Amino acid sequence: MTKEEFNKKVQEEIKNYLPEEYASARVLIREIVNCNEQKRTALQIVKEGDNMAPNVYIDEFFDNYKKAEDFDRILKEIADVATNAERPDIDINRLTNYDLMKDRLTIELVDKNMNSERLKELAHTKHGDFAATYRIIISETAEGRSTALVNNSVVKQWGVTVEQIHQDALKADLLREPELYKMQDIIADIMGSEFAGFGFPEEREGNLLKKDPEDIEIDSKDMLVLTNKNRTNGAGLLLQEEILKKVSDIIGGDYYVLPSSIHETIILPAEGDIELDMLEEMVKEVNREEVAPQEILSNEVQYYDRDNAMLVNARIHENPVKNFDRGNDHLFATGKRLKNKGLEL
Amino acid sequence: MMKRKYDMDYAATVEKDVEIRIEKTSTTKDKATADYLKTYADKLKNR
Repeated sequence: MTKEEFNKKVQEEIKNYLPEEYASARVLIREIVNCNEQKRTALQIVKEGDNMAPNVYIDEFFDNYKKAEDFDRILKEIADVATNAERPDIDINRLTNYDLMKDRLTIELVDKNMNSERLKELAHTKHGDFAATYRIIISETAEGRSTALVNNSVVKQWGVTVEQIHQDALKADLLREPELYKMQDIIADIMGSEFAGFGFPEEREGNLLKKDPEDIEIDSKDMLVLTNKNRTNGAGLLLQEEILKKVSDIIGGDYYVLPSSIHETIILPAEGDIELDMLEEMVKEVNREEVAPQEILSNEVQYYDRDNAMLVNARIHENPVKNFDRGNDHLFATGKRLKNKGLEL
Repeated sequence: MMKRKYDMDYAATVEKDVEIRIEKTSTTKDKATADYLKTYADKLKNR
């Protein structure tokens, strides 16, 4: 059985495995497009009169089927997952009220070229190599969060501009405790005792954004990680101009930004003999080999220019005139200009 | 038999023609994140 045949057969037969209350439910197969255009197949079972239905991703079930599992058993398992799913505790009607939702907005920064199809459906603004998309945080605990992406139909329902959403999301994200750590601190924090004995200092410096830059010692070889308290969608902080400036104050100059994932970015002082070719190659390699496809931020290294107070593609910063023709009217993340490089848009 | 854990989210119909997807994600404070950050750290410290 091919994947398409499997999907069709699941759609046709799943009702035989569902309780009586699902007799008049609609069963749909839908393609769900996640970040970086990662596509998955969802089975949707919509009970009559219900306004919420689970998306049960059946690609994994197909993988199990290929491993010679019994189709009957797989259908039982899908029915079990669909009917026992923990329903989000939310009043759907509240989602239509922008005033109630604006403080719950957060930015999910993505690579605009890696999401060109998906962005057609989503509220977004463009910033250099990136696009800001927006999520509503419905609930949040230490274990995780429930969120909803803001699509075009929601924006229409709200009756606000995308620029308004962007400004409100920027304000809301600033209240979610932006964090800047030295690399060794954040790895030790995640790994805990597993990292003991790896030569990292026992005393951690903590969140550098909360300290006076005068009290922070930064070596040219230091690596910093910019994220937020929940370590989720922290790359959106690249759009916070005050934070970028504070990072520059801490470092004492310009810096490179490696787009390590949608959840955090790596900051390197632009001192010494850093080769951009090497940085670009490193980002591509780690993205290709280690980062989950839907969490890749970009392959494009960025550069913070302190004099112009802006973030720009590092390749364009290195030679703006030579690289001018590779971009478009969204070349620069902050919309400002490289005046001291002789380039005016 | 131990139950397997599958990814799932919800499609919510807010109004006619207005549908949103409610996704549940766990925090990324996990080993996978530390692994790729450590890869960067190892590569960069020799620069």
